[in-house]
Amino acid sequence: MTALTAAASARLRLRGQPAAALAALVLLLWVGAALFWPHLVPQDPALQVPAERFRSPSAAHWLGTDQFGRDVFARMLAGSRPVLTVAPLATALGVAAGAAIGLTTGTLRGWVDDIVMRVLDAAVVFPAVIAAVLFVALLGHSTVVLVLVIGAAFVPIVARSVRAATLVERERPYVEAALLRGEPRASLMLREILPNIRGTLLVEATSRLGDAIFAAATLSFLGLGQGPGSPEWGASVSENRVWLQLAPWTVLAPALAIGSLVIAVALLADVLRQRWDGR
Amino acid sequence: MVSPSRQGWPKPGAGPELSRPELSRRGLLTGVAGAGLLAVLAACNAAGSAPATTASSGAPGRRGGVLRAGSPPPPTAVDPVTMYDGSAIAIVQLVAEYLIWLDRDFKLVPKLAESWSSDQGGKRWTFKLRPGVTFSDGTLVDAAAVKASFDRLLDPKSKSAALSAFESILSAGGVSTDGTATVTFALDRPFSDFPYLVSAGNYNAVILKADYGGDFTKNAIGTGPFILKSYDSATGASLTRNEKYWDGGKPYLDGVEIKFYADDQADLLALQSGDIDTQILSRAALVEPLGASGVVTVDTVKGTGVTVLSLRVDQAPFDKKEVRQAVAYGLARPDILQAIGTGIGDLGNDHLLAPLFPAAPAGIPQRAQDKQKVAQLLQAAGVPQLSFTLTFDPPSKDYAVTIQNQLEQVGITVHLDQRSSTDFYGGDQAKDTPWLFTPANLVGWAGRPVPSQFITPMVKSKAVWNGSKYASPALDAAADAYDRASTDADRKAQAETIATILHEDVPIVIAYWSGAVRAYNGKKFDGIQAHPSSFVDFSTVSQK
Repeated sequence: MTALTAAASARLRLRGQPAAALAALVLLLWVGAALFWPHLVPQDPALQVPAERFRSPSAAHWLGTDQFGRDVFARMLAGSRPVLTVAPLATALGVAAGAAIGLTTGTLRGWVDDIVMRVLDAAVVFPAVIAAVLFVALLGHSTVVLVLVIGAAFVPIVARSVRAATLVERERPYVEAALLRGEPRASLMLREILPNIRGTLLVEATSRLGDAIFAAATLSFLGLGQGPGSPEWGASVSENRVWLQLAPWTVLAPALAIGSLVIAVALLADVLRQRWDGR
Repeated sequence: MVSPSRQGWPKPGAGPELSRPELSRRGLLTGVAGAGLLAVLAACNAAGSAPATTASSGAPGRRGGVLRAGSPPPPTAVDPVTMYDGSAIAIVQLVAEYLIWLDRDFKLVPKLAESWSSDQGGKRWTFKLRPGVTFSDGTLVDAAAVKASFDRLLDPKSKSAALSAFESILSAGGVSTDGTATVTFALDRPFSDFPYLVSAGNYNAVILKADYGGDFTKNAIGTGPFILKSYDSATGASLTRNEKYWDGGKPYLDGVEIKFYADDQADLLALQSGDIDTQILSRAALVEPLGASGVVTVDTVKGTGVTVLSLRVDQAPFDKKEVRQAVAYGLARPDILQAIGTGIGDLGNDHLLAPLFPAAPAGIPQRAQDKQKVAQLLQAAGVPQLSFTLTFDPPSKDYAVTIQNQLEQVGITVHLDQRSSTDFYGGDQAKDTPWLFTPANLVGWAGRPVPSQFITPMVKSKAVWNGSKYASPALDAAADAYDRASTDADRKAQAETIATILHEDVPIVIAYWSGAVRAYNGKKFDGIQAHPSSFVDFSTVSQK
């Protein structure tokens, strides 16, 4: 996971930044929950106990229960897995594809650059949510579809950033030297330019990870996530919002989960950006 | 096509028209006195007749005031002929009236028809109109207007939402007049419950002027207690008292303001904050806790609305009766009633004779969750590990999740297949629409006044909406005999036969029958009541 690697490599720098350290801790906790929730939950998050409907938070149910008597804490932990599966994969897809396009067009320039970038400009203009709804409706609900839809939405954004960084690097003397040596274009891109824009990629990856988490939660909220009964955070907020007055904990728990994860990733992205800007 | 679950009335037209409101015939057994009893006797005795009665009773209320009611915006045009959603029905019911009203106990209450009788063994019905009633524009209500209203509903070109209710019972050309005050219905077959089909139970059957042109919101002319002054599909409707209303002294209110709220929560907050005084379509799970806390007054009523789990008996794995019975024994019905039905309603027992129907049999043992029995049945069927896909649309999502959870507890795996309502009710009804052709599905049926309106389309052999593909000559014969029955005893005997067959064969699983609620400000208004079909009669509502 790109963000995790970045967080780990930056741990020494976090010592003087308590907010960033807290963000890293929150991220690690959620990753731990996503990996090990079956061992952490007090009861099956799908188990319905009608006699326990809408119980407020207590020692028996730390975050209360929902309309079916399901344990909200268990569902919150279980809900971390879908979002931390979809978001990193979508980010990886979007960054990989966007980087390939940006690197290629930035290096080659000419008509290829003109055509590809105009197409990407047009794609950026199209509302991402509408596009996502359209594709999920056409392709069906599944983790793979969500990864593809969210990842595809990131491609133009990442491609533009990488292209801009590539254009800067392209004018550097080491690139001119490589051209004079007759180095093939592929080698030029992968061996010369790519290592020198990895900071841009890292910052893009962490920024997009936060976006991907939010996008996954949004699509889930709109009913475009996994199937009915899933503990996905976005779906939980959507399903329980009608009970906001009666049982606010059913909405607050998944909403705070989304918020904490997005903020944690955003803070870490800032740390990484500052680090690379300071180089 | 199905309307949002909040509204509960499926669409007619290309998709199934499953939307008959919830009506009962409890009055048959309770033996209420006066006009109500006479009306009920008339309705249920194929050979009987009812004398003229008055519709109103009770002490007059305080005059004046405007009632503000919240409601979801109607998803389609407010047209009495094609309407199917609760908001549109409510607006129309404030402005126009039926030959017969159906009250919350499913008693038949004479309105524009003063009396009715049948002959030819229940194949011909004659209705005498109330004299002196006028439309709000001053035109006299006569037999020609009534005939025109029903001819309109029976014309397939009108896309009437009532066509399915009349299916195989009354055809175009079956309505005739005898003078200006008598209307006769010649039925396709004997049907002892016919008065219910011309009552509010068939909610499109309002009496309109003969020249009604489909422009109800712009030119709303009816005989009802209120007159539609303005209508905006986004914000709401404004109605004032009909000074020419025939039922002396009513309505007590000066008017009714209907405000549209697209969101349940907004509707509820408006009620709590005092922006509205009542809701047209209350959601039980949301308002029940508020009623208990005293914030608002909540009236509840049982009903015959039902969400049916259909199992295709012509395909594996449900071609084996034991497998279907295993599914039925896998459900914890009291928990479902509590979690999905908010505890308002009745337990279901896998047959279509709801406890509210007077003919409902009492001797069939109530089915309950039995893990051991499930295992035995599956073993006997040679299907030790049962797994199936359950198809449904969004209004049934919570129920589907609960079924999945409960059946998992008895070792049955259910894969959930949620479709959009458009998809679920779309396709060709003859070969591939999901709600009729998937191996197992959930279909919400709004309440109906008589069991025949469930039995005939749902489980009779080759019936139009027989999603289970069930066929039983014994059931067909009993259903026909039920429709012909001229006495309560005969009707009850046939009902028991029908229920016993369905309970044993389990082509459909019915875990609960839903009820209805209506929330209102009880400190300001009297006379607001819940109705099993969320119908409104604000003519007797008054300020405190």
